[in-house]
Amino acid sequence: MVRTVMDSTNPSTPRRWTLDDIALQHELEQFLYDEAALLDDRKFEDWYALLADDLEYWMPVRANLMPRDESGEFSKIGDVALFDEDKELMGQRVRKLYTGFAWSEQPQSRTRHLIANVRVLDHISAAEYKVASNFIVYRARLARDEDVWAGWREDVLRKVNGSWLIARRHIFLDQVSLGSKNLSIFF
Amino acid sequence: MPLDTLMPDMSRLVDFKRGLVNRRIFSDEQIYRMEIERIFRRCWIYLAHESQIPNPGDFVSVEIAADSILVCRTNDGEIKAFINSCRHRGNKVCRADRGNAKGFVCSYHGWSYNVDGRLVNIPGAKELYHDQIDQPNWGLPELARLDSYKGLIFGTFDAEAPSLEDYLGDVRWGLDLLLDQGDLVAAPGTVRWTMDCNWKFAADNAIGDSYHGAFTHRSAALAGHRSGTGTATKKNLNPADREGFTAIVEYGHGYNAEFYDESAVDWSSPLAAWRRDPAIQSKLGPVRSKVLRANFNIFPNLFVNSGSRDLMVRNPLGPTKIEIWKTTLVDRNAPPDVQRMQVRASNRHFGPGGMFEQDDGENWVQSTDATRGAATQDYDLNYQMGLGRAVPVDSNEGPLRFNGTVNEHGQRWLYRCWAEYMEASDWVEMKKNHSRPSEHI
Repeated sequence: MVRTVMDSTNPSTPRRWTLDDIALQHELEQFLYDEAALLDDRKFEDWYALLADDLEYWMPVRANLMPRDESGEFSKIGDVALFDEDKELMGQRVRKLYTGFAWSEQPQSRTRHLIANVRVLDHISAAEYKVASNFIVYRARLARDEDVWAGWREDVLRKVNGSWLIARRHIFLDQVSLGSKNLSIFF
Repeated sequence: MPLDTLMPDMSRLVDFKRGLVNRRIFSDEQIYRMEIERIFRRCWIYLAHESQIPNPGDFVSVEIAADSILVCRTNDGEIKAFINSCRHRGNKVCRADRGNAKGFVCSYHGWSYNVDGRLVNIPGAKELYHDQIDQPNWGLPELARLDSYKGLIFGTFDAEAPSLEDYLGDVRWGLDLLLDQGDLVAAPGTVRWTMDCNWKFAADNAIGDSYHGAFTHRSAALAGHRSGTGTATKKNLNPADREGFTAIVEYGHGYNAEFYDESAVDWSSPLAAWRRDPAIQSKLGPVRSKVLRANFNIFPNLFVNSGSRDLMVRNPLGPTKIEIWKTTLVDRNAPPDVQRMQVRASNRHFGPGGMFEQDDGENWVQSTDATRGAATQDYDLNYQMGLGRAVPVDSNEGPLRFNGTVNEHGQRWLYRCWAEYMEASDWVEMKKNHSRPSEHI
């Protein structure tokens, strides 16, 4: 499974939180909430500015398997995926929205990103943290369309010159077959 | 009352001579039920790729409309397909998408079947049923026929269907554009998503709608996205200037193929290497080796793209709903980084988040929605592009095809054949009465 680090956390052993830990947790949470607000407020260019140049933005496909095959539940990097992007392609996705011809976003989707269960999984390097969060993303479109996507993200957040950037975002959906005609939004 | 007596005259709904199609065929419940009987229970339907079940006991679970189908590799190495439903209370005997199994046990009362579909155990067979169940007759129902073409497994519920070879017929000449590109296997992972559209709008796009790209996908092109092949340069040709051909094939298939312009292919990309491989070139011959990409609809519901090496089944889940199952093929012998590059090009282009495909769904749902209104239904859809102007390619090579890629020959052919399937009461009648491509001109 992908969630090895998360699963290894034993909640019955109380963790010793320092004030620095609490401040870091708070800072990362606030970053994720503010980032989600940019998406819901349709400030896509501002959001794009939060992506690191070496961004890896990836959403694998999931399969419905027997417990013995659980390790193959998600496709692996390099295999079939729903998103398999770098920063250049994310730039194209953002530009696409402003061309005046992006039919799947004209009229625009109305999204609500609910980000929760934020956990700092790892301190990768001096300025990089691996952070997991759960999400429910709700979308209403046109007069009657509605979509809900649930899952979790594993981000690598990097502090550069005092600001946070998203260096990696792996998005794991709980759905196997998506009940939505497109994924024209960001997670 | 038999279904037929309630049915409207198909030839009045599809007027291929004038290029008119009645909107009712895209959302009418009765017509949909008849399509299931006369098309989806009759035609050869693509199920899976052989490489997805290489070993004995391997299985994948797929669907033909609402029928759940297990495709298995038996212990003898043979491929079998059967209905995934216990003969006792009907539960699925396998509820996973894929895996390897010694057999399948129903979760309700424990009836169990082996991987070739035979019923091998009934709990209490002796004490409760007094050995009176004739077990060989209560196995999982096998599809009437199963066969493969170059790794693509097809099945049909109808024993009277022509052989797969005859059913695909001349479309194999086209399909080889993809299937002769290398030793192709399915990359791990299936993309599945649903959309509220009629399956025929997706088929009508697949069979050769080279018209929509410039407008539907304009935002992707303006944003700098190029193609699903991963080999296109920035040069973007106006669709009307793209040379190529349109083919229509017996039993409802069709495709169009666009030739490449030397300057529009990035020859430094390893994904273009196969185009310079003499062995592949000689297999394809002078015409097909010039093709950049071809889009196919294998009747009724398999979309094939030879450029991005994608297979997409559009399985109907009701008159106004489909589920798409997308598989990407890669060359088994290509280095892993080249395979990755190729799969990535497809991931970015097609699928619900694909730079191109995200806008297709929006359109097909809108087209479908506009077939429900009672007053709106009075206004037929226009399929008149190129009507009466099909010019056969003057060539000794390959089957009949027409010049150009931007036309609606394929769509008129699709609905003409669709109406013939719907009118024919069985394969005997269909084999006798169906139109031949040469009659289409």
